[in-house]
Order: sequence, then C-alpha cells, then structure tokens
Amino acid sequence: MNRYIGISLNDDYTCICINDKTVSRFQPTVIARDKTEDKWTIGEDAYKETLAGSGVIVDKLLSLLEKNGTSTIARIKYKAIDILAHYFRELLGKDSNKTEEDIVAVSIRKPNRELVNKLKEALIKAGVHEDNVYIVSHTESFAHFVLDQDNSLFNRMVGMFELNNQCLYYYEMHVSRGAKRYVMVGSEAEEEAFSLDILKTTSGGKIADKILTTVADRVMSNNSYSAIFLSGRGFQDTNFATNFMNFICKRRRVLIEPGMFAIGAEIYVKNLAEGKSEDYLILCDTRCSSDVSVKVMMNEKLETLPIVRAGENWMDTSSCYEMILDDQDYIDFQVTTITKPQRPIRLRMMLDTFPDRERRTTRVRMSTEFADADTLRVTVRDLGFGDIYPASDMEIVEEIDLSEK
Amino acid sequence: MALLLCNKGARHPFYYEQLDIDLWSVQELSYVIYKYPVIIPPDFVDRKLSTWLRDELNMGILAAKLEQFMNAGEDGNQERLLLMILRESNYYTQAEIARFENEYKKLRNIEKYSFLNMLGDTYFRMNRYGRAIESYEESLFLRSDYNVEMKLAGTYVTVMQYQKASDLYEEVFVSTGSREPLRKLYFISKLEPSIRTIEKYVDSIDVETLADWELEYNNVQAAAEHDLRAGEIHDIYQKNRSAFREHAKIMILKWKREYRSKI
Repeated sequence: MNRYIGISLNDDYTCICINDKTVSRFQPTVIARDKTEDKWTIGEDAYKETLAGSGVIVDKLLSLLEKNGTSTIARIKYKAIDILAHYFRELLGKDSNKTEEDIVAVSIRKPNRELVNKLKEALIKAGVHEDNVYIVSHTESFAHFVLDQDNSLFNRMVGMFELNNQCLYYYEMHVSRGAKRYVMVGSEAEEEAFSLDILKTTSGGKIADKILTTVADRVMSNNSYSAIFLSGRGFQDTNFATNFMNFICKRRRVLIEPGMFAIGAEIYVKNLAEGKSEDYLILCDTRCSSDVSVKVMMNEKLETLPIVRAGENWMDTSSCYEMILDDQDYIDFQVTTITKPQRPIRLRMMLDTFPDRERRTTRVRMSTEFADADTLRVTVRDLGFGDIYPASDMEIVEEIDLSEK
Repeated sequence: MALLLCNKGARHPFYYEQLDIDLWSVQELSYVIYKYPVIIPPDFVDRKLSTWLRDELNMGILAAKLEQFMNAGEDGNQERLLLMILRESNYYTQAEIARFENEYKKLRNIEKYSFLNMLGDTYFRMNRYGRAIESYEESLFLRSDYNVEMKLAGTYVTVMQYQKASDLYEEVFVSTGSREPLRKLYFISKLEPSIRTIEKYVDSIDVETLADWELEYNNVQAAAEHDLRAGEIHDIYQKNRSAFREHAKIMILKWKREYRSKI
C-alpha cells in the first residue's frame, strides 16, 4: 500500500500527516549528527543528543536551504540540500525495510521555483521517487483541506487564522458555484504577530486574546462566513482566547485543526494518486489565474492553442511550440481571467525585427515559462526555414503581466 | 495572415539531391515540391522519403499511406503521392494545392525539349548554372531553338565562359540576323578583350547604336564602382594594406566558393 504523506515545513516546526493520520505535530525542525559516527536524529531527539554532548545540531533548515548555506559537522562540510535530505530521510523513516511507495507533498509558506527545486532534490536524495514529489503552498493546502470537508462548511466564504510563534496569518477562501466552479484563496500576514511565549502567563494570554479579537474584528468586519478554521501551534489550546472565540463563533461554525497544512498536503497527494479530479478549480498563489492562448491555423481552420490553463501550477507550467509566420510579423495572445471570462484581453507581441523573408518561410520557436506567479515570460526565436533560409538566431523576449488589475 | 502550427523538425535531414540541400521539416519538403515542380524526379517519393517522414518527423500515418500507394504501383501515383504530402503538411491551402495539381499535370504532358528548357530556367533562377547549362544543352540536342541558345549563352556569361558564349551568340546572329546577339558580343569584348568576334561584324552596326551600347556599358561599370561592397574594399585598401591583403584572401576564397556552388 502506498503511503500518502503531507508535510508542513517551516524553520520553527514540522508537522507530518501519513495516510489520514497526523502522526507528528509540531516537531522542531532541527537535526543533529553524532560527533563520531554518521548517525542523524531529528526533532526532540536532536535536542537530547545535543544536550548529552554527543551530537551537533543544525536548525532553521528552510532558511539554510534558501540561502544555499552549509554546515560543518565533525570536519565534514554539508550542503543545505544534503542536511535536509537527511532530515527527510529520518522524518519519513526511509531506512526501514518498508516496501511501500511514498507519495509526498511538502507545504511551505511561500514557494518559489528555486526553493521548490531544492526541496524536490532533497526529497529525491532522501529516497522518494521524483514522480512522487510535490511542493504546495500553505494557501493551497488550506484549500485542499477545506474542499475535503462537508459542503456546508464552504457554501459561503471561509476564513482561517494561523497562529504560530511570531506569525499571525489570515486566510480567506471564496467559492464560486457558477458555470465554472472555482475557489479563490488568499492569505495575508498580520502585523500584530507575537511570540507564543506570552501565552505562558495569564496576563500574556489576555493580551494575546485582545490582539486576536482586534485582528478578527478588522479582517472579518461584517462578512458572512460559513466557517472559520483555526490552525497553528498557538491554537493547540484556545482557553486563553475567550473573547476571540466568542467573536468568531457568532452565527458560524469554528473548527480547530492545528496540523491543517500537513493534512491538506496529504489530501492533495492522495487525490492525485487516486486520480480524483478537483471539483473546484483552485486559484491561489501556486496556481495560474488566467487562460492564455494563441490562435493558430490548422488545415485552414483557425483554432485555439492553449498555452496556460487557469488552475495549473505555474511552477510546472511551460510550453514550447514551433510555428510558421504566414504573412504576419506578430503573435497575438488572448488572456482570459477566470473571474472575468467575458472580458478577454488581447496582447500583441511584435516580431518585426526578424529578417524579412518570402511568405511562410520564417519558422519560430515560441517558449513560455512563468517568471513568477503573475509573469509569463515568452521567448520567440527565429529558426529561418531550414537550409533554404538560414536562421538568424535572433530572439525576442517579452513578459505578460497576468495579475488582475 | 496566420500562424501555422508545426511539428518539431527532424534530427537528421533528408538530402534533396536536385537542389543540393538538406530538408529538416515537412513544410520545407512541401515548399520545394510546390516551388520547383519541374525538378521533381519521377521517383521522388520513395521508401527512403517515407521512412524519413516516419522516423524523423513522426508522421507515421502519412508514411503508411504513401507506402500503400507505392505498393499499388499504379500509373500517375507519383502525382498522388506528392499531393498527399502537400495536403498533410498544413502549409499550403487547398486552392494552392489545386493550382499545383494543374501545373504538375501540364508539366507531365509537354514535349521533352520544352520541359528541359523549363528545367534550365528553374535551375538558372536557383543560381544552379551548371545544371541549367546541362538542361539547355539537352533541350537543344532534341530540338534547335534560338531562344534556348540565347539563354544558354547567357548562362555561359554568368559562369565566365566567354568563348563558348561568344560562339553561341555568333551562331544565333548568323542564323537570325538579330541585333541582340551582336549587343551581347559587344559586351563580351568589353569583359574579355581577347575575344574579338564583334570586330567581324562591327561594320554592320551604325555609329549611334555603338554609342548607345558604349554608354550602357559605362553606366553599368560606374554603378558597379559605386557599389557598397566595392566601397568597403576601397576603404580597407586606403586604411591598411596588410589588412587589405588578409581581406582579399578571404574575399577570393568566398568568390571561389560561390563560383563553385554555381557550377
């Protein structure tokens, strides 16, 4: 049987969910290597090893990976990717003689292409097959988690508060049940984030309660919610937040799931592996929000060539097509935002600097790739026409802004 | 106006001997078929081409259709095979393909000497002068034609074989009494002073005509002197003699290569 694994990862803690069960909640994201042998321990065990003086600890693993950092332990210099690979191997128990295949999704706060590639590499080094590695954002994990709940919990707007050490985020999910069913999910960091250490005292708890109530009052205002979710280490116990709980519990259901991101990631890989199609198109920070297409001629019929489809993961979306310019020196792109399908935008990319040639003897290669979530980079290269009209090797690069303005 | 979607090109090209070029895509193949129907050999679509279409361009269905027709071995198959390629390439419109069909049918039905004359014209337009000469000569072997002789002589001038050109122009003048061969002989005497054929006939040309030809020659020479490329060479010579010698070496090599490719 396959293991479907969701991991929520940040510098502070790691949460892991395997096959519907949250196995480990809020394990510190630290790793220690024994000073004398190649033996690694993670989480609380790593602290123990270090306190016993037999291990050397490395923390803030995600930041280390982002900075391409290194760490020298017992005279061996380890790259961040290798340290994280060891971390994942220990976390997943890959050294055991288990034969099942792991399908893993890691949820992080802000994925970018570089970080995603490094995380994938670390997971592959940890023994996970490259086809079974997925990286999602917390926002996307939240969407998967909510969409896996009963329909009544998301028949209107859904809100979520995430409380961790020095981290307070508000998430919002809008559901559209029209002709095209989609959910739009977004999140924002709240400036009032505080250290969870203040919850250790009664007075600190009261301050935290007041902060949360103020934030909830501001972000929720008079909006109508079908449910409010609470997540993060700070909401493992809500006894300190009496006023906040009273405020958010008015006329809606409130659900607490501290390990939501790991569970959401696990739901995602499970659905993928089982071939379940998404009932709702998810539009969030890791997904494209627009359809982008080009009109091409096929057997004298004008047809639409999709370049980008809304709802696709932008980091995995790239395309490469070869076309012949028939009496035109431009490419028209049609951008259709999923929220405004009736108002598509036409953008023209001029190719008039390419050499003038006889009709239908300029072949071009058009490659597209996302620079970031809102920017589609288009590269068009002149290929000439074989040996008949040699290529000039000229290249035109333009960026299409897909952000909704 | 449109964008024609194409498959990726071949990793290994198909060598088209008649044009001495490599073809990398089905669109290039369609282009040379459509543009130069005269030079298409009667057995152009064969196993080698269908294998290339299948293996290099992933056009297995087209290759299978072509092979099916080739196996049937009916007369007129070649025309159908060429049309199949044009239709499958998403390059020409149905109207253009219909025009090609008509032209190709006409070509197959014309006299051999006339076909060879057209073949010579095609090669001449493609700057393949050696092949143009062969075609014109074969056409003349089948049937004498002063127009073809004039074209053959003109091709000889292009490849700087002035004596052969001069002999042909003289033959046409003697047979027809036309003024044009004489004009050409006059210019040959300017380009290659050792060929003095024109002197035999200069008395039959009036002074005004001679003056016109002289003016025409001088104008062409002046235009050549002011050509951009000539200016560049002159500038290099003025600036640095050793650089000029290096440049001259490269230019001569380039001209030699160009000349060889024309033959």
